[in-house]
Amino acid sequence: MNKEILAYRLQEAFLKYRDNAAIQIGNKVWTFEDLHIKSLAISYAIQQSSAGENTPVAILGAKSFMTFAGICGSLLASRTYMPLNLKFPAKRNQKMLTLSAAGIIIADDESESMLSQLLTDDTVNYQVVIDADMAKWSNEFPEHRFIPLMDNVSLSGLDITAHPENPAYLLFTSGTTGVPKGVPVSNKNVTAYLDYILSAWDFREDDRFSQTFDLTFDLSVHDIMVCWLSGACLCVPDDDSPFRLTSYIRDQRISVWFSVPTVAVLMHKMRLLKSNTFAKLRMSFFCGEPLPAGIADQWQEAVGGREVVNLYGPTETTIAISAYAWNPGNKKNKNGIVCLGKIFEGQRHLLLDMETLKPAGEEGELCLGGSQVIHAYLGDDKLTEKYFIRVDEIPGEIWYRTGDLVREDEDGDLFFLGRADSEVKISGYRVNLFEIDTAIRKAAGTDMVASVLVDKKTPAIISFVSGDHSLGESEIIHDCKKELPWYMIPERIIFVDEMPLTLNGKIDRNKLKQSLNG
Amino acid sequence: MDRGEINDYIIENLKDKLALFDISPGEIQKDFDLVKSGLLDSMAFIDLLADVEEKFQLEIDFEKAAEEDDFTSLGGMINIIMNLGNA
Repeated sequence: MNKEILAYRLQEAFLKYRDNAAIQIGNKVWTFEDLHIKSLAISYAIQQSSAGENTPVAILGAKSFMTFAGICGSLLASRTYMPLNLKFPAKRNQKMLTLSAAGIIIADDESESMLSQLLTDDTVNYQVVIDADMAKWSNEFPEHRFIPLMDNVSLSGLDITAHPENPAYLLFTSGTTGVPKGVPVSNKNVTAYLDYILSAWDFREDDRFSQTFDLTFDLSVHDIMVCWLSGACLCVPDDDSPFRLTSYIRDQRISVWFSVPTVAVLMHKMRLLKSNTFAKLRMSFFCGEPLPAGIADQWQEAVGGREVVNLYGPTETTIAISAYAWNPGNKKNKNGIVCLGKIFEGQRHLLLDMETLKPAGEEGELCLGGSQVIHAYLGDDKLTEKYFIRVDEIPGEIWYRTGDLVREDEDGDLFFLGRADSEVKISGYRVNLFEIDTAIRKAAGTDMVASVLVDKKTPAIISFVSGDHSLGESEIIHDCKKELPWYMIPERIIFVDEMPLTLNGKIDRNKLKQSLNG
Repeated sequence: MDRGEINDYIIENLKDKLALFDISPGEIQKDFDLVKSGLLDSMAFIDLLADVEEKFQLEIDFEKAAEEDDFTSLGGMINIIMNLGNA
């Protein structure tokens, strides 16, 4: 049972690899022991707080040592961690706190201004674990409690009481109604993923892992946990410039790479993917959005012909659930998009005919089941019922409907064909166009709103608005910025006299899209 | 090719975007950061530089350029292009 609890696995790694470098941020390096001590100090502080045991611990910070230790500390304290994001508007972070009912916030010193904004909400008494000037914070926000970190901690730690079914982390993805969907991923889910990935690829103690994902993106869990359970060093870029990742790979001697394909496209446009540019990169993983075959080839050349792995998997199925190894002998692709590969051994899949909701032949909506697949959204039975279904033909299994249309070939390899709903991907982030519509409706004061994703040189969201509107384009965009994360802000608002409708009376988004080409 | 010429070309290229952000072209200072301000995302920024390369028949060393702290500011961009032109 302990094998199915992330905190045990982490604790084991902390002790086993004690003197190895665990994390490097810029030029600063911390060992597994340093990380263990800091994580324990945080877990004791969490223990001291009086906030409900079943609510998650919010992690607020930059990619700092305190933030990563906060994640481990929450797990060691047998709690769920929920990352916030300093780049999100305060309102968005506030919404995540409210929906999750988190009572504890772990904050690093770079989060000061966001923390102040979140703490102005005095309807909740937050317990804040912070490594800073307690007196200053307590004076300013007397209604909240500030818990300092202890200097001396015992390495024996706390008893781990988490259960395999308890969530290890809670993330939010874009929802249709303007409310983000809470995705609780259990210890069992995440250890199933880790067991598979650690056995399928040969990660080593002397590896140096990249860390390009935001912590609000579940692929960061792969970075952190695959790295540390292998005894390797997590190399965190010390500035967030996407333009400097080439020198980061070289200077930090990265050996295991993981990012969204967009990063590779950017490097390609900067003419940086030259033959053998990244001679030290042994393994390259991409996930989060379709990987263009041309980019896979370019990357392969840059890493001296080594294999490039395309991973696929929605947050609900824990990080990734299928893989395709792209190498000179295996270059399956469709419409220029690299194959998604086979579903991981031990996990199950089913293609659903979207009309009859019965199992389909070789083409249909991909549904997933197995130990990596969650069974419910956070506190939303209606949504859960919609996305987690049972199928008469295969009793006893709960299937998650991904909304991804795929084709399966005779080898069992899957190919991405498109989306079945209003969800699109921007830089790897899942964006539901309806959520953008909702924000614009609120801002513009009209119901007739439809957003579309346009693939020009780069993907962009364009929103159409008709009817009475009180605000202009820039005001609406300005309002959206207060509600939505940066990757959901429309590039343009276009006012139209009348919305084109489909035969069913719905707004015809395809027609709107076509009107842009005119 | 002089600074003013490059400046004018970039501002012209960004005309629609600037209007959207309610920024009049005259307000743009040298230290205005095209990416950090949210005006362009990283991909659109590189696309803009590609347009500049084509217009002025230059080839930018992106890795070297990205090391400059003011790479994404209007003035920083112009510096990079000017240095190329004088090389």
